[in-house]
Amino acid sequence: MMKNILECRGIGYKIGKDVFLEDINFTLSPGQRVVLFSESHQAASSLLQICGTLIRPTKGTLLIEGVEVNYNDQEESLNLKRRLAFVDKKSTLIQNLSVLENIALASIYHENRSLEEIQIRLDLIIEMFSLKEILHLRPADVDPAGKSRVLYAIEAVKEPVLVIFDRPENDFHENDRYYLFNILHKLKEDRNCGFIIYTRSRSLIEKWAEEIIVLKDSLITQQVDKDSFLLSRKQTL
Amino acid sequence: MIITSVFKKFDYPFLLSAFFYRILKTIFIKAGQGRRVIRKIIVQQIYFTAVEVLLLLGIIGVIFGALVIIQILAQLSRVGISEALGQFLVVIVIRELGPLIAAVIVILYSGTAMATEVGYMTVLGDIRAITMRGIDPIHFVAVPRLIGTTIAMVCLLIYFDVVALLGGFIVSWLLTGIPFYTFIMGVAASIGASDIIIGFIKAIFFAAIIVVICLYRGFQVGGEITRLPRAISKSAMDCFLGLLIIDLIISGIFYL
Repeated sequence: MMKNILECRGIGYKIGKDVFLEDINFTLSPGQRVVLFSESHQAASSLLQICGTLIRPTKGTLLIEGVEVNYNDQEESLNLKRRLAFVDKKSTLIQNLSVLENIALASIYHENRSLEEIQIRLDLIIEMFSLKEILHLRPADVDPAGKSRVLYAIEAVKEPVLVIFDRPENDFHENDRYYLFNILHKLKEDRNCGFIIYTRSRSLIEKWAEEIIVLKDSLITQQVDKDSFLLSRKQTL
Repeated sequence: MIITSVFKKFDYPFLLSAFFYRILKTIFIKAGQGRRVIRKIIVQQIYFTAVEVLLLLGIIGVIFGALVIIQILAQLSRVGISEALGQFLVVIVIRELGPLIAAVIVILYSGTAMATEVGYMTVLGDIRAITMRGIDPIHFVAVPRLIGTTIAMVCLLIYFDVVALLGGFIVSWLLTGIPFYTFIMGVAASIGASDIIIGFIKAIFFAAIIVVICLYRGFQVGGEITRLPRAISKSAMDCFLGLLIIDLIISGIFYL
């Protein structure tokens, strides 16, 4: 039987008296494409960060590829992050590296290879995100749209099992949305990743989602297929 | 409550020791990992700490050597033993003040820059970005800076000693006409292998304390940019105090 990529068991998260998540249970299998829909950005963002092992839930357990996440083991936590493609509003580029170095860093570091040795793999991504013109610039010299493309290119170079994007529609202008779909399709075809995307974009849900998880008042209130969700939200989305 | 706050005031050296231990542990555990990247950052750090300050440190060294000789001559001319110039220069420059002045230059030029850089990295999210690539920030940020600064510090110490002796000789020659051979023989007779080894020990410990304090203060900035100026000034002050304490301990152990 194929292992679930992600499993949330009774996840809860609170800061002080503010409760953001309560008893969250769901699983994600390889290739499954889930969209998270929530009125509360804080709740959705917390859940994404928990799934991305960036924050520790105050309750419950998280399993990635069938293994319970051990937050005390720093090495394991770093290894997990290598297998995740994660972009949220706080994601940034490393300022003192060029765009090319930013994209290549993880491969050069983990595989102990030179830039030339991974060039073929990079060329594909550089082409896909039209980064040729800005490759040797520093992040400070790149416009916000270019930065977004670089952020997603970094994740595309990784070999993730799980893709977590926080409102990616805000990172791409309407005309540039195809970059986003390019990476989503690439990761789906190359790696058969699981996807959790927090979005409020109807077009993204229409084109990409299979299943919708609706979060309301810190709880999962609905877990439905795309068509039923779109039908029920015809007026509000 | 009062006891806790009193203990909190004194936990700083322990926190620094724990941070230093973590860097050392990372050096050994992750030896060879990301070799190319880490080596590149080490070279950049050596260049920034040592090569870029060569001219400045050279001028300071010559002036310092000259000043020491002027003071020594002012005292020794009364008793007429100017042949001992080299000996005094060795005691003052090579044993004691040379390493200290080289370290102060490293704090001013490189240490504060390091605290600023790491502080900005935490504020701008670079540390998070490094972690998200599955890279340990201690290995990527702290380890190469510690290794690079230590190598640079040892090189700077040798350089400073040489230029200070040169400055001392020039002034001695101008004021007393002492030949270079006599001067250098005086230095050679006074200097022992232990002086050179102790100089290196001091340089290594000084580099370690500077890097550990500056990086620790930088990492402590967290997400608040308003903490940055305070972190920089505190790191400079702490480093200076740390240098004096270490200097006192090493000199006490080896020369008393």
